[in-house]
Amino acid sequence: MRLAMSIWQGRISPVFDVSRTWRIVTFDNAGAEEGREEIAVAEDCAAHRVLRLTHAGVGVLICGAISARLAQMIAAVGINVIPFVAGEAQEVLEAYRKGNLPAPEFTLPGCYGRNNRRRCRRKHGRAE
Amino acid sequence: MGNKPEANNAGRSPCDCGNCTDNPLVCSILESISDGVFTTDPEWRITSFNRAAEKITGVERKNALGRPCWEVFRADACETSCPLRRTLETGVPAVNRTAYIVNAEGRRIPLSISTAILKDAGGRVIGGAETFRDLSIEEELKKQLQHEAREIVSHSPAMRQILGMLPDVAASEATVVIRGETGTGKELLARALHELSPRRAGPFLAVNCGALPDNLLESELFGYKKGAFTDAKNDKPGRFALAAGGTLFLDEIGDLSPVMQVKLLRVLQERVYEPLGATRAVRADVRVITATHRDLEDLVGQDRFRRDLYYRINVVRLDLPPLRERLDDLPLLVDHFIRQFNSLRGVGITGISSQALAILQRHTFPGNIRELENIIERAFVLCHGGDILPAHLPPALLKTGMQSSPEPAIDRLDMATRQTEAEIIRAALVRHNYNRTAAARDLGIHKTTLHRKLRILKLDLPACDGRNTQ
Repeated sequence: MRLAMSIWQGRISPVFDVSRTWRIVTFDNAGAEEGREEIAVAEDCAAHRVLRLTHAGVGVLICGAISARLAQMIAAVGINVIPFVAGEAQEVLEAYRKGNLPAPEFTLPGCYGRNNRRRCRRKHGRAE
Repeated sequence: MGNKPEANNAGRSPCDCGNCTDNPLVCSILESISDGVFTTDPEWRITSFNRAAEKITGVERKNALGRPCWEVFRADACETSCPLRRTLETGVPAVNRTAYIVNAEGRRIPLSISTAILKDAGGRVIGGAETFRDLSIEEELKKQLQHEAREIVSHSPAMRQILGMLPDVAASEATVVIRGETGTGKELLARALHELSPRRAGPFLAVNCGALPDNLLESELFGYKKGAFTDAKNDKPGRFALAAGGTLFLDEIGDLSPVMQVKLLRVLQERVYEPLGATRAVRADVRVITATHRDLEDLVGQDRFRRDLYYRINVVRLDLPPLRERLDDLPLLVDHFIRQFNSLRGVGITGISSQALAILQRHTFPGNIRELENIIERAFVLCHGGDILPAHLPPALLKTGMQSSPEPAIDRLDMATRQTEAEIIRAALVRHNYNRTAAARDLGIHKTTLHRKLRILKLDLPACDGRNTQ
């Protein structure tokens, strides 16, 4: 399973639509991290971003604020989007692996609840 | 929180914005203006956040104070070209820079941003200030004037499938045919494809092929040269030329005459065309997206549409479902149109009542989303505040709603629940050859409960109760 995080200055990038760096983390079947890489994304075009994610084989995207249209398109290609996340990238990743996302301490101000309520009902978190 | 002049008189803090203790008068002014204002310390932590900033960003002041400004503001410029950072680095203020922020609902809010340096009495830099104005109304008006693509609003599975295909389809140069009933948003989808495509910097032009007679359509599409006919006093570029580098949307392609079908086929095959009266072919640098409400296969079968043209345009086909097949989207769409008309008309309709929504949900919408948009627009004429009520809907809709389903929604829900319950119980009984005890165990309920439900649901069961056969 591959997970993408949009990062900036070691933290989750504030707006995914224009984020410039993605960290791609690969997990093995047992959920252990196999490797990670960082890719530069220069293009702001929504279609380009969705295609970059699908070509990278990403199954989960953790990001900051994201426009509804882009989030819809990403979800439509089968990627699980965990939006409106904030904090140090490594801490966020650890929280995800422990199944602790979404969490108030890792959510952008004013966004906890509205965007997370629906996803909370689904089980996710541990990398498979 | 709030603006309390008496607090100023008493020298107390009028609110909790963070600056009141320093200067209550300044605080009161900031609280009363409609522009959003926030200040940061040199580490980019928010130190004050006025009421308009709360309203525009949707972030409460108590949640904003102390947080990094980019996490609260979430502007497209934060990561790469923050105007406040530039101001603090260069000392030059930014004035009316345009940007957008993404709010908690995922909506992009266009803003005009200005910045300034904050200094203490000794001239030492203590942070920065950013003021911003919501440009949503202006942008919405501009979109209406320029016919820009509006948001595609949907959560329905059929639409999700289309949205999932959009990135690949947009990135390609393939000709697309969009099928859908009138008012389903064919042009909206075509515009979305254009805006997502590498040609988005180029123009998007739409032509309704069914609206023009052949000779006019030909000159409209391909243009003409001076002297091509009596009134041709100057060269006139056609839509293929005007859309160069962009996208040409040919609506109602199923209405093209056989002659025009041949001409269009040539452009699509050879990527060249000849303006009327021209002696030389011109290269067509456009991506063509077509749409129709007709069944093209049927027209091909009737020899009314060329098979070769059909295969040429049918490289990618997107079928837009009618609104009656995606009624789950109705609340979302109603909310979208209410927000749009609120912006355009500067009014504050708060939403739609559940009764009015129930009436809409019983309607079949032959005019699809365009009809819904017109219904909401009509409601805005009659409704002057609060929620849209049944009285604000067209009378014909109220009649249809009453005829088609006289029961209130709660009864229908109750019926649906009972029906589902009966089906599950009947299936369990069949599985266990009508053995009530085994079926109850399978359903996870006590057999007494099962008997009670059988009685209430009036389920007809065979005389045999399965005890002898288990």
